[in-house]
Amino acid sequence: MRILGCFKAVPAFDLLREEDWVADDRLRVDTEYVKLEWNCFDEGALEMMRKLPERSEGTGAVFELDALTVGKKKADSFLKLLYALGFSHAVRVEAEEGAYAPPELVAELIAAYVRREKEDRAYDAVVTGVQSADGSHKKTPYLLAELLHWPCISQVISIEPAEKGCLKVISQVFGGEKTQLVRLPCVLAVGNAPCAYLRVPTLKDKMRLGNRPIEYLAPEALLADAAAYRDRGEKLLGLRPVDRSRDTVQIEGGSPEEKARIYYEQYLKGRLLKL
Amino acid sequence: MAIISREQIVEGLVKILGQDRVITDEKVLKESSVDRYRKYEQVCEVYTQPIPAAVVNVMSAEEVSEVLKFANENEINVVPRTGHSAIEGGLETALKDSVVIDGSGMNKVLKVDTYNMQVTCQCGVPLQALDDMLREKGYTTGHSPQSKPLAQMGGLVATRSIGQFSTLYGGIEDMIVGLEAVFPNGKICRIKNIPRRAAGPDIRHIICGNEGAICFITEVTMKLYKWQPENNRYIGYKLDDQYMKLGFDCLREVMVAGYRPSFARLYDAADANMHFSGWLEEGKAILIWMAEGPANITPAIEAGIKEMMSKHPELEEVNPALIEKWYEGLNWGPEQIAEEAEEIKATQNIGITTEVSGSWDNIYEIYKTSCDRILAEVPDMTLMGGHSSHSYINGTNMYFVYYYNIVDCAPEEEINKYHDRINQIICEQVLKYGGSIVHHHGLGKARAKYVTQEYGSSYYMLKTLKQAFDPNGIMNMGTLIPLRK
Amino acid sequence: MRYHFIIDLGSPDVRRQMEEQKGFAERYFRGMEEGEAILLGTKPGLASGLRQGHAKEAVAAVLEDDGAETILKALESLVCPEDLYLFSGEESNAALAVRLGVRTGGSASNGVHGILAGADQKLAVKRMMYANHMEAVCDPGEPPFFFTMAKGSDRAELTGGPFYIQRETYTPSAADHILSETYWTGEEANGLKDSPVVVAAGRGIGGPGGMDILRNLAEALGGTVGASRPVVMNAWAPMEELLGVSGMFVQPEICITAGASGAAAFSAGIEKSRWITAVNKDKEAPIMKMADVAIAEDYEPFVKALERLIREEE
Repeated sequence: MRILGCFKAVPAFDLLREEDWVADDRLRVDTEYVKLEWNCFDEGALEMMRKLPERSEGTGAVFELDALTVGKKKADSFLKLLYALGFSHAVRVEAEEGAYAPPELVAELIAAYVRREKEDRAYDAVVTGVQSADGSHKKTPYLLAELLHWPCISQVISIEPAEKGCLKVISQVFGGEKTQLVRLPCVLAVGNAPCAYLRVPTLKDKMRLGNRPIEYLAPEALLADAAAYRDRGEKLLGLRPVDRSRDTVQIEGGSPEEKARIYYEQYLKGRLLKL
Repeated sequence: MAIISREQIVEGLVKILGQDRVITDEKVLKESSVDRYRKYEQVCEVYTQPIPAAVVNVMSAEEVSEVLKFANENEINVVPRTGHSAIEGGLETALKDSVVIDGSGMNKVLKVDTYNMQVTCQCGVPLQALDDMLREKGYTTGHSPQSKPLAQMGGLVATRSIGQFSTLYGGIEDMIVGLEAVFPNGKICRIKNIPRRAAGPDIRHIICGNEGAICFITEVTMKLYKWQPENNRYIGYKLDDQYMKLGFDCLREVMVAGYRPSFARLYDAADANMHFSGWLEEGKAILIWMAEGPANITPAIEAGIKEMMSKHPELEEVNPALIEKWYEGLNWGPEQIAEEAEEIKATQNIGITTEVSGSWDNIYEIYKTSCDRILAEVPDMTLMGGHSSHSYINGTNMYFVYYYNIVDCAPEEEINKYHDRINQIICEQVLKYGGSIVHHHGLGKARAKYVTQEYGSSYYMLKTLKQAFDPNGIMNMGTLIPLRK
Repeated sequence: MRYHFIIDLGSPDVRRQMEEQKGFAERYFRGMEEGEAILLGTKPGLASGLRQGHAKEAVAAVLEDDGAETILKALESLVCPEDLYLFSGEESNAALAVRLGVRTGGSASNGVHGILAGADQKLAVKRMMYANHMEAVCDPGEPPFFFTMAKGSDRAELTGGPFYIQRETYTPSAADHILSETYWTGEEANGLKDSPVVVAAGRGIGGPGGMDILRNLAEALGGTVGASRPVVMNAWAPMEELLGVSGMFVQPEICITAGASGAAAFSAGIEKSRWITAVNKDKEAPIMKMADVAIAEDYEPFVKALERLIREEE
């Protein structure tokens, strides 16, 4: 079974200072100086993939795991890490320096890559996270499903091996969980999975497996009119930081009982009614 | 070990402090039997140390005195504790039926004296709260260890802690003024607040660094400094990892030339990658300085360092704005700790640190040979590296950072299979080349077994101190001086 | 352009979702014509049990199964090319909105928390980006529009009667890829994680008795208690109620802290709360600056008085 995991390495936003949250004149925030980390949903997706071979031990099922990212050179270390964790093939579609790749473009690129592999080399599933931390569009897996004309299961929290041509997929639905036996192909969009951290390869595995060549592709190699997709989808008109400071109100009053009354009548009651 | 039963211990403590302040809840007791040295056992909720008889909350020096007298008479092992952020086993209850004395309720700042530039506080004052409060008034203690969000004053003094700006302000031993501590026989001693004196040995150092094995610290007075971050200057250079020796020499050059930056750091490539991968290429080490102080001094320090470094073609200057942003985003805190536990559970990958020091002429050998040996001898390593973060005129420290996967190993076996094995290699290399096996986390119980080698002939002095002040052996046994097995 | 609500009647909290959709429409769709709502469900006559709807008219789309592929097939045929369709903030709706957008040649935006009408009558949506650090205003593209709301939108009361069902459609299953399916309803833990009101105790409550006082307040508020590490380490509250570093990170609508000083280890656990009240004797305690409302007072008489006021109101 051949599965493609798609991921994004995103800046570690929590390391930005409060005052660095400003949009430049192109409506972007400069995050170049903070380190990249796995987009958390994608990390969960890749870890689910990584576990498939060991979970199917003894069943004779063979999993071939590939990984693809649309990103800059800095993302290579993430692909190397996946090699060290046993992934078979790593692909980086070159992202244009300084340009944002909207989900409409990313989905087209992934779809083109998936379509390139045919017959017995065709992919059986694409696994990716439901959203990325930077754009937060929540679109890529769903656009991809439409482009490939594949079904899609979202909010996936577990993927397990199953009979030939199938996967057992657990997904979160409102108020509970669904366990489904899914016939492939299918796009699996990973949501809030518990234990979503990727394993860490040993230094020995990194030396042994991590230095295999990464396949680099220009967007145009997959999609002749890639440039045309840059402006698809939502157009950003404005971007501003969210003010999180709280303007504290001190409740003055005589007795504790009086303060309680003021607090309840003027502040709490209305809010309780809204719940 | 106690000469009365567990029940009698609890009864006696209740008589002194009242029911509410004597905790015997099993989960609390288990949590109180360890510190972050047994991080993996803690994450797995496997407790291998003797579970204490009680945790008691003390609110005054007099109460501490009463509890200690009771423990002393009944030979009950006590473990003094405040912020519970220790990482070398110093807070483990190594003997059966120990009592943990928790001073975190003594959390009042008693006096901020900006004329004499000193602040007095009780042992349970959290450093973060203290320094945040001071900074608002334009002052700082100058103490900023990574444990700042958790650590409290008593523990910080007891472990001889050090902060990120030590190259300017020094370690806590340079910051303390007077102290109050309670000894096992119940004697409460105060050392008054004065700028200096030559009336015999400096007895503050019987208290500072005692790791709870000699006395219980109840009050601390610290020096104050002006907080003027607007003058800060940042200087950074990257260099190939193979030039680490040169990196140490650069740190030395700046110190020897007489500059006092507030921090001076050298990260090897493996460690640097964890902090600077946003802009630093893989395989690059990095040198960083920050100058702090009056507006006319910091530019001079900056210019001096830059001039010296410009003579090394192996160095490439880094945009200081990047260093500044990294520094100000250094918000290690509660979220990270919470997340770490989850990550360890999920990945079975754990990160540990060991800090040592060495002279300029041996620090590189200590660093290099330790890393090489660990990589060759310990299985499942996922990262091995480190940084120097505290420099002196005569040497510097090395902060080893290492991560490994825990493979086929029960939680109670982890310490032996990995952590202690790595610790041992580092200690062996340090002792071989003539450094110190502990730079600032304390000996705790984890490294107590190396104490005689660390001290050499001066072990006599340490042992005599312990025997003189704690003849019944009730103070945090196993810390500083190993238990006889 | 008309707006339509799309709502899954099989969802356990249909009412809340309807109230949120209605609240959203009242704020942002003023002057826009209300279109029929689209009700989704797996049983014929699916809206018959509802005494109140949030729109006057509705189409009932009966589905053979409630999988995404079947829902999409049903919705595809009901969409008017000029109109706007609003989904509630449930995570799974993002997939529906985006895929419908592709199938109908329209546009989708997810996590929308506001809508602006431009001078040229073009819509612009407000939503969060950069892991909630920035608020973006976006031109969503061309109609038909499919928006999912941000979680926890303000609600409006349902005032009208039941839906007038214009017609009922039936969509056979499009879930050929699902070979078998089981459903599991999650069990609630102590509810702290999702509680809309959290009363958080700090060391200043002084003892186990203080916890009881706060539990009573929490009960009156329909909320849950949490506690700081010292409180739990003193065994005044069980470990399961631990907030912060080694415990839980919560983000309730209302958080009331009592006797907590605001140590970083604790405050990290509650700082994402929508609205924070701090009760502490010490006016200078760090928690007081983190709060929306600060009350410098001994917590015990204050909390007891507050509880009485709430109970009287009931």
